[in-house]
Amino acid sequence: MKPLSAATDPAVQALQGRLTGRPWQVLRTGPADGATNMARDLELLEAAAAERLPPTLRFYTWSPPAVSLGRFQPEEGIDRDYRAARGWDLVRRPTGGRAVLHHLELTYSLVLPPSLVAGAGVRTSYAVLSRGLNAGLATLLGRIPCPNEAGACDVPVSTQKISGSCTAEETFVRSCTAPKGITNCFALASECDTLVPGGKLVGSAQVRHHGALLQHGSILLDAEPEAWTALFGTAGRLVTLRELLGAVPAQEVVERAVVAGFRSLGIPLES
Amino acid sequence: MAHPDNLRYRETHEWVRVDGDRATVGITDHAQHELGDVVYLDLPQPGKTFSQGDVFGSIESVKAVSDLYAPVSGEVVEVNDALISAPEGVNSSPHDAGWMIVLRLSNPSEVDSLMDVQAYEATFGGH
Repeated sequence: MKPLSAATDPAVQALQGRLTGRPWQVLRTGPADGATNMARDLELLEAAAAERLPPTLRFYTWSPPAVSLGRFQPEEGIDRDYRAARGWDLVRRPTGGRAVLHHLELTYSLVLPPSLVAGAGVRTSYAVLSRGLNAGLATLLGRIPCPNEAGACDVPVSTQKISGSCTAEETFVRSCTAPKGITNCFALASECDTLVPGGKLVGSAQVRHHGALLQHGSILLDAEPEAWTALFGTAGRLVTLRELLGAVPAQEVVERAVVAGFRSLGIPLES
Repeated sequence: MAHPDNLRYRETHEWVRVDGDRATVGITDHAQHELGDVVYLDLPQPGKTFSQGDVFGSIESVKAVSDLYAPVSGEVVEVNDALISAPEGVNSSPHDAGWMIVLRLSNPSEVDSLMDVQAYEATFGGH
């Protein structure tokens, strides 16, 4: 499937134009358990669907750490005993995609009302929203993460077969046929994700509800790959800000960078 | 033209093919292109009834879950079970093999409220 070009696609340009026309709020809701975090995102989505919420960028973390499953993802293939032994929650997201371990990370969510989404498609909206997110991360990294229209990241080559004719490498870079049996969000990548050399820095997912949009995603500040392997059978291609920056950045620093990234698109976010 | 001219379209990207009192429902080529690879479908059982605009199911692509809306009112009389086990058919054949449900129309005049292909493509483009 041909990626959308953020620079030239008219629907992408139109959505970006709409997003700059109204003030956005930033919510910092701090740490909470998995059920509370997902309930808050759903409340925001419902309020947005009723046009009772300004466009919103929310930041939060998870305490205790939690595994989130995609909306329709079976629990099968995720080590329940390991998770329970660590005292970690299990929660289902309203969004699609595969499982994420929310530990040593920062989660963002973006909530847009129907009047701004105006029927913009999933890939169109990712193209705009990933642009803001990636521009923000670029200010931290001093380089731009793989933009979503780039298919050619410098990811280590692997020839491990996962399913059908896809190699692990192809599967990771292009998510070419969404192979079954992969439980870990960070073992797959699509044009919607934030990729850096070596793998994936941010995993994002969306849901649409009555014309409103919720996109949330996990920004890896640090990681415990052994825990991902224990839970999902593979750590995937985790790349963390600690690896890229040499130290774990303060949460506030990452938040400020992401806010700055959206402002660089002309989106009026309050601080 | 990416969308057939014998279908009617809703602004939420469902199409309808009417044959007597039966309305076959699916999503458009434009919609499948925007969604990306479809990995899961949640469709209703036969016998359920929906009003125009009700959510009749959900569709999950690699990166998003979206509601599916009934473009017309009616009772579900058929479900494309083959599509549930091979949801990629939505991508490969959105207007034919990728049909989702058949509704028995309870208010056929609603079909007139839907867009024709020119109106749909004028709003959302040919792809």
